[in-house]
Amino acid sequence: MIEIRPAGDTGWLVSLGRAARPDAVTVRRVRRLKGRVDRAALPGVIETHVGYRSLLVSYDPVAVNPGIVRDGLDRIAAEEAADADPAQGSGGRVKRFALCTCPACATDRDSISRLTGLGWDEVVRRYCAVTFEVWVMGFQPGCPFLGPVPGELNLPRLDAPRVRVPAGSVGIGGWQTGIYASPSPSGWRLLGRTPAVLFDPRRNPPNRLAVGDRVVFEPSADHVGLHGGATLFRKEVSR
Amino acid sequence: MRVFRVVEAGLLTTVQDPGRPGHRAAGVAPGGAFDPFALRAANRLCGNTELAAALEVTYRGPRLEALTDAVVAVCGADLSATADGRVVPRWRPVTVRKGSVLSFGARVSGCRAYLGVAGGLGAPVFMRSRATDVRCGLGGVVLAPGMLLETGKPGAPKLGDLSPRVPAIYDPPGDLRVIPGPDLEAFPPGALEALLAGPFRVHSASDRSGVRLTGTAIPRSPEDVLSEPVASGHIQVPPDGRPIILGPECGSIGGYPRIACLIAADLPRLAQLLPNDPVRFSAVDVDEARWLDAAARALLEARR
Repeated sequence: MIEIRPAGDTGWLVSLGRAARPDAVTVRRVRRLKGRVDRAALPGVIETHVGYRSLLVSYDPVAVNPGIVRDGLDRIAAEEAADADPAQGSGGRVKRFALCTCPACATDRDSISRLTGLGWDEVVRRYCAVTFEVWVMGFQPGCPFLGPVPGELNLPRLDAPRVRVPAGSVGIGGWQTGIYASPSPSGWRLLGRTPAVLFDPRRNPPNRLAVGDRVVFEPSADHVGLHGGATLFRKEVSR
Repeated sequence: MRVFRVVEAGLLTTVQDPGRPGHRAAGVAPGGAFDPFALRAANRLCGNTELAAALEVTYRGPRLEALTDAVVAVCGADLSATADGRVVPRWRPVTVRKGSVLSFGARVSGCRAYLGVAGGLGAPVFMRSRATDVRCGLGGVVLAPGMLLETGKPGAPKLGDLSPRVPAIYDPPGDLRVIPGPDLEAFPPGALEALLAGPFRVHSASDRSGVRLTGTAIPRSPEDVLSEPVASGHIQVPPDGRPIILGPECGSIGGYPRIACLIAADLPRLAQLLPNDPVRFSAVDVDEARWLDAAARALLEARR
């Protein structure tokens, strides 16, 4: 069921339920809904932004009566609800990111092995076997939240978040996984680090990834590319 | 044209404009002035468009040497602005003479003052905005001693003295009006009532990303941490029950349920809160919120 609720006087939140676990079906429906709202070009709407199970439609409350935006969203939500087709993934080219899983980069390898009962190599093999999709963008500029997290890799957050993890850190927190585009506090368990630059303000667009992109990690344990060393990751680093 | 040389930078003095809406999909916050009303007023009073950039002065202000005659306007917090020792009245255009020193002193009320300068301030543009994203280091300028500030071509001031009319926007300080939701069902019964009953005070760990509150703990259902899109004014409740009111530099998604959202017309009041200030909430509906926002904007449309 699609519900539309006020998010203050500057937004409507179009919600597709409160599932505790993100799933591709809901995420793609939210994305399809965003496409419908964007194409409708409702007057006064400033932007639309997706989460795992809802779409925030921001408007200028002085430029437009919120009720008129709401009427448009009611109509679009009814269209989406009546659409029996499953929403599809983008099916675009897969973007490959090197992932260094050496002990210095995979800060939480011991706890991840212990919590999953899997050997470290097996953890890396399973994580890197997934073709992820960018489900949500945000938190910091350029940061992708990826899915799906394999069931056996659903890991509880740290009891005490770290004050700072380096840019490129790749971690798992519950059913969420992703890459930190810049240094940040983090409660996620870190299983490696990528040298890829995910946000570069000099480029247009500055973000390397967008919602719907597909991502695969390619494991390495020799740290190259991250500290000005060898060249394995040059293609990613030198853009 | 060079208009000021920065003698002292102050605690956190940044160039801000209305921000860069529309880039949450890249993870970029709209940002911009925390107090949009004071920014608009400062710009209008010195003849700028509402899109011009001005200084956001936080608590302890800068000292600026005027390199030319300039029309300026100080709006928002009362941080004891003076020019060569003479009081610079707020909410009206004032001419600062070449060679004089514009400085800020003791804080009397509020937290953030806005210094508009005729012609608008120059600063590096990122995503079509000169706003300084302090958290991410994007766009704009954080003032430092020795910097030279530049302006564009001045326009003619179209407003006179706003000071008799603005207090209604800010008084009583800390009285914040909210619209309940959108995540009310993530809370047990009584949670909204707890928010509206309070009391709360502003926590010291507050900044342009968000204002944290202490005092009453809001009852919360267990873990619910899927990230959803958020915007400034959204009131998140983390597991410890202490509400966080998101500010203009908040991330574009957040993992905590929202019990209510601050109305746009009260963002100026939020921007003016200091640590330990009391905060009280009351609920309004969308129509009243919209009326209040339109009334605030109408103040700036009046001709002198």
